Amino acid sequence: MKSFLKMSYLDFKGHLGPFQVEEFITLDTMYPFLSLVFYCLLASFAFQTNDLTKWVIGNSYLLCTNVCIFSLGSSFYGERCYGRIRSIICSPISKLQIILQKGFFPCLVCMLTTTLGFLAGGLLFRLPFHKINFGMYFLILLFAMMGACSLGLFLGTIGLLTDQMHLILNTMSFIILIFTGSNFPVTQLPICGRIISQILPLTRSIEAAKMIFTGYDGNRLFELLVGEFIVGIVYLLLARVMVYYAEQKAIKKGTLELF
Amino acid sequence: MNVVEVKNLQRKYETKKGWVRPKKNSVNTVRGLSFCVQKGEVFGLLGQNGAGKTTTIKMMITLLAPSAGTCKVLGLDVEKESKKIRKKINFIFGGEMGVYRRLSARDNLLYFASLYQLPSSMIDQRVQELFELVELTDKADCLVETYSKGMIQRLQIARGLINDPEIIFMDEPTVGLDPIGAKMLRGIILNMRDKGRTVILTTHYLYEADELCDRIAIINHGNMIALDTPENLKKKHATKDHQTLEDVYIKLIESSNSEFKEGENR
Repeated sequence: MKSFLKMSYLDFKGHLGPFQVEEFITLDTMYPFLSLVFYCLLASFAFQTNDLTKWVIGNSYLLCTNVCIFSLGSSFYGERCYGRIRSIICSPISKLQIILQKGFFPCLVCMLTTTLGFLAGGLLFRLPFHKINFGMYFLILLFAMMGACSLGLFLGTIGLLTDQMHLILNTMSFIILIFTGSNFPVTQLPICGRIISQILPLTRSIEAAKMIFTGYDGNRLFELLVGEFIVGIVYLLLARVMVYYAEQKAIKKGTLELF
Repeated sequence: MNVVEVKNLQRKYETKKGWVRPKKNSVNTVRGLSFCVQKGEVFGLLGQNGAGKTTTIKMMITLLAPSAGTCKVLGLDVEKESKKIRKKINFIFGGEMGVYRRLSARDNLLYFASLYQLPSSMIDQRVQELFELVELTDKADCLVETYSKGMIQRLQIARGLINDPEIIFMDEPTVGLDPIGAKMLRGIILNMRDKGRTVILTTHYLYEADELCDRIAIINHGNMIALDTPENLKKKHATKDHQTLEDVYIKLIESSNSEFKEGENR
């Protein structure tokens, strides 16, 4: 475990550089927070309402996309670009361990970013914080970020096969924005949209997080959390399968370091 | 005892361009190489740019599958038993890629030591030993992005030795090294040979190959054109005016090039 944490930290540090508070505040918190403010204001004018609880919760969960989708999504592509992928592929360590250690610290950063965004958004738009069970909030947040990081890692492994990661990651960030129920209720989406929402992480967590403000049914909450957990595990397994497939294909075709 | 056995090794790269009428292009980089490397030997692979040296090394380190032929490292097939091979070998590629520039050199080595699953109790000691070996102790805690090209290459050498490999593959390891750094690397290679480790080396510096290698294979256009000890190569191919390994190499390559062109024209 100690070795896992150490490796995970070094990988995180190696990709993000010497971690600086200013960098975290401006890039990982301020920029996504301004997006949250934008969507909440948009909702208040569009729906003519002052109760922005649903939008603050939904959009605070989307604050993680910067790290989950863009940072994790480009992690393996970065290893390819900087010539480190051969050391990773040719090392005896389990590739699943590499995937997990790449996701661990980003998951913690996502939890921090989302919480900060939620608190700041809540203060700005006067959310009734007294109604929240914070223990439950953090439990939902943990499952949500595990699922989102798993999706990010899965997307990241696609970077072993393609050089079109900007297209893929930007498309995915908009799919998450539209289909997870953060801004548009899932029930109002067309059928194909509802199907997409069910295979995405965050959809169930956002519904669960909204429930803790409106009063919740324990069974439904449990179902949502289990669902979110399963989605996360499925994406992790897909990431492992993708690394195996990409490794085999690249070794056969000689494309691991080619673009 | 042979630690590397290569028989009729071939590698073809195939590329496809276009969606509607895809144009296929195929390049044969390695065309039937056969050689063996013995335990404790320093084996040199020499050749022009594009001769197939790096491709051959990549096949031996399990990073590339052969298109035909067999390649066994430590008695294990590179395609079917790659996992077992990877624990026991390592490689050094020339150039500035392959390290985390935003980490310190020490953090880089700690990370790569974890990739090779070194016991945590011995990681710090091993890392320190390697810094002393490559003479980077003073700068071990500086970020790699502040390093010169030669310092990065020294770090690459330390990275390649992290798991104390039985066989080390070095692809132009002295690229970017100053004369003192290159001399240090030559010392490391000879020291590894004394310890019974095997070194497979590619280089464009022929005096280096002459000094270090027990045997040398010269390849051109993916074919083996000579394989012998440096002394024997010089004995067989040197003339009165041209007696160095470099002279022999140029003579062999030029004669191989004209044969290759004649073959293509036919």
